[in-house]
Amino acid sequence: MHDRIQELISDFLYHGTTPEQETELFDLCSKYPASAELLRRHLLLSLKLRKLREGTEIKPELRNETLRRINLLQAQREQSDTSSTTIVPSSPRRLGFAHLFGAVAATAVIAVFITLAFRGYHAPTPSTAAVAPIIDTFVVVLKDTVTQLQPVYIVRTERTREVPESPVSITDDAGPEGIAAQARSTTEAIGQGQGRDDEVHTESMAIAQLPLQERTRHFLEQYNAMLTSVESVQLTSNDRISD
Amino acid sequence: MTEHERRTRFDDLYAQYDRRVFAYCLHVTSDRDLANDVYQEVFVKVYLMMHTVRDTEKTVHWLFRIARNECLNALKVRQRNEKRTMTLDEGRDASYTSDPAEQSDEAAHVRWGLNQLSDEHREALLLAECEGFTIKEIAEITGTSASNVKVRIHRAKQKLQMLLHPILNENA
Repeated sequence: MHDRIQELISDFLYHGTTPEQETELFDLCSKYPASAELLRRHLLLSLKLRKLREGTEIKPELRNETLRRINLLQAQREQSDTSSTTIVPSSPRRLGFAHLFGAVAATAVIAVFITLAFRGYHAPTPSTAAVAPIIDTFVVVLKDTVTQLQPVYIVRTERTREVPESPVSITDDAGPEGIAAQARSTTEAIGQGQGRDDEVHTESMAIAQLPLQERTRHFLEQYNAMLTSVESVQLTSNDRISD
Repeated sequence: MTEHERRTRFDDLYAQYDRRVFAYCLHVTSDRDLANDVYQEVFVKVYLMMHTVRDTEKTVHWLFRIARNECLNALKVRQRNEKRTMTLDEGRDASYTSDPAEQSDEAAHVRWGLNQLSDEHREALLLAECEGFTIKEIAEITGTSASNVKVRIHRAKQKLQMLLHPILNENA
């Protein structure tokens, strides 16, 4: 009963009742005072809500500002319409083909760039290949919290190019004493490496045998880890890497 | 559609509905400054999208759908900003937020009551009562079913009647 009244009132207020339903509603209201009271409260609330519209005048400045923006937009659009008809006379169909060719050409250029980049990355150039040093062994170096793997180059009779990353770099003007000193430091470095934990060493050797790309990725990961770990460390001149 | 046609259609719509759109924005946002901004954005958008209206009979629904979306977006942005700055109620009309006991004006009391409703309930009630849309039209504007709209209006009114109990009884 209550639900039926609610439904009828709702339909009556929002233009959804048929004449028969209206009659039913008024009959119920005349029979039951509670229904009449419910209808009265709904009507009163509707009246109060509709009254809210009265306090919603728009300020003339707001109206002017809105119309000013619309005028500006209209002027811009008219201007762009005029310019577009003079500059772009081509039909949509022709424009579509142009887009297609443009996309194909762009894809081809990107593919060529990627191929060149890959070949350039993997294959050494003839000049660098000729002077590339041969790595004899690796030394495990523990720096901060990071384990680094450094290659060791042993001096051979042929002329080799200086490798800055190497802990033992041989230069032409080093002389016999310099070479001896560097050899000593190499031996010490090897000694240090052998003194490390065997597990770490085995793991590092495994890394050394990985393909170049994998190895590079590994070094990068270690380098990034090192960057994170040294954030709180105050570096001094002793930390500077020198020849 | 030429620019001239677009402007003519826009001017007709603007002359007919600008006040209703503003009232709607004001009631939904409960903030005059925000309603001013939303009102402008609504009509700029309406002007730009005028060419998309095919069914002229439904232009009003389309207009209020834009207004609704703009209001909801503006409310979302405001909520985000409020979370950041914690300056609640600064720009809002006092009648929407302050205690009803402090409000002598009856309309202010009703506005306060409306502000206590959820966004969905308030929106459905306002579209029905203040804007005079039918249940079916509201369903179209809000993108929900007619039965859902009925439920929302019913619950909104129930809560509002409870909140406005004193003033509804005064008039008995």
